[in-house]
Amino acid sequence: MARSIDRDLTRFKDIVRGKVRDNLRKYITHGEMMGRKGRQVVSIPVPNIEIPHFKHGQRGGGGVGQGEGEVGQPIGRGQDEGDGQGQAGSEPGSGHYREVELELEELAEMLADELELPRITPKGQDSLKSKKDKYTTISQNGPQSLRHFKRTYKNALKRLITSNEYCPDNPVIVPIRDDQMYRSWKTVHDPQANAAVIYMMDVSGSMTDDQKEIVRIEAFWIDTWLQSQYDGVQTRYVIHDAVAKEVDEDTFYHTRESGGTRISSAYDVARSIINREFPPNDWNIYCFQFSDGDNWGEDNNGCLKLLMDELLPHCNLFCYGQVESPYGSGDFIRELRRINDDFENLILSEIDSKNAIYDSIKTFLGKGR
Amino acid sequence: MSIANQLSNELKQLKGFASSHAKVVTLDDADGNQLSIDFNAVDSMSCAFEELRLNIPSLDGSSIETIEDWAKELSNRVTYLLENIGPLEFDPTLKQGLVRSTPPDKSEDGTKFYEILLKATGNGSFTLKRYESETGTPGRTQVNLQMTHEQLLKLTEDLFETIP
Repeated sequence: MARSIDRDLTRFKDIVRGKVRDNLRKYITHGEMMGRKGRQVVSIPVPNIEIPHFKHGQRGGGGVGQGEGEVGQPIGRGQDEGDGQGQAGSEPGSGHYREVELELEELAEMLADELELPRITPKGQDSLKSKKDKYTTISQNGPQSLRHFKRTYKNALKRLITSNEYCPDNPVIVPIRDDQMYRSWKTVHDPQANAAVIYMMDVSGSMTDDQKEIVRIEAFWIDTWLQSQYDGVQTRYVIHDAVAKEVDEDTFYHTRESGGTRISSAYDVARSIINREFPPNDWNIYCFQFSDGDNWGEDNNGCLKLLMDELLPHCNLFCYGQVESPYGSGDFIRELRRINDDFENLILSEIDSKNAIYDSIKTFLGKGR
Repeated sequence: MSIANQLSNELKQLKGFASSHAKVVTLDDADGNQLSIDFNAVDSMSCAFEELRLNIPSLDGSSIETIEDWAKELSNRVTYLLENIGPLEFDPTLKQGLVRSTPPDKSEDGTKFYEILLKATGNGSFTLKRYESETGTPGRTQVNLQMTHEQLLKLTEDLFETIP
């Protein structure tokens, strides 16, 4: 029989999930709910429920059935009339929110339901298999450190009883070599669908902090979704201005350079990462590139060549998100549209503000590749 | 005769010119620097042009620091256009610098801005253009620059005086 506290907890979780679902679009487009405990748990502000409760009145204020008044006269103080100062605000108060923590997987499920994202199909027979040693068997040979004391003792006891050597008055049991039993291992193969995600971001002088914030939020949600779909997601980060380099996550999100924009340099680094670490036959490869599209003129042709020859043939998805800079949206997305019809794994999205993140994620991941 | 004087004479001669096919005016100074302007229209007070280029052979092979210093000095001096300008990006590999309106002119319909490209390679050069981008449409379109004669002459003087 379920305990009352368990039912209450389940009900509380349902309420929280409902609130999160209702406001998921808002949470997605704003970055305030990013994880506080690493990347496993995220904090989400949900409206607090204020439970009504009785308050004691002032002492000497009379009691039930006492004082002046007629039958039928309303009790309590009358409402003051007249206008107060100021007007009611339109924003919710800041004190009525409670932060609840949700597991990333749970959040990814909600995201998938809300955006109607299809399940991602891993690459059939080419999935990697990891080997694991599990100590689940018993053997008559092995090192002393793995000796199974209980089974060894039982064997010795059985041997003494069957040979009538066991004396209950003097129950001394000394195991011999044949009694010894040892823990042993069995190697099991765990099938895994492995995914490699490469994020590329333009950090040239024309990309502002606001644009990087958009990239950061979108990358977080994409990461959340892919983590929920694959066992072993490997993430790599590449930043570029005129020159590209592989960096860690923190640098990826916080660097601002002032160099020119040469997108082909990022493609070159992504290509070398794939060649070095992620054989395309064994890995599901996802590339997500974000830029304001203000590529320096003559570089566009080099980009298209690298993309068509080296990246697109090996990627499950290559997603390009063009954020809008203070100078408007750049030309690069127009170049990519020229080849878009030939590559169905090339997904393009324009992200003109934070409000466009939601639809952009759906555009990127909606194909379920 | 200084470049500004030569340009002033050209503007007088071009008064009344208007065509969608630009007329390219090219002027040289004593140091071998060459100014080119692609005019589309000129009247008694103002002019419209597609592009202003200045080729500076002495700049060929200069360092990126030279380009950066030039960009900063230009940004400080050229304060009489529709928007102020400021350095945005520098490419040490190609020894190029990008200067743009800071901030650009934003409206509900879109954005307009000046763009100056400074190069220290293949004959050093300065190129000034103006672009506009429409809200919700990727890419940008080059549009004519419109200046009074006085602004254009002042810009030319400042350009030549700041050449590194």
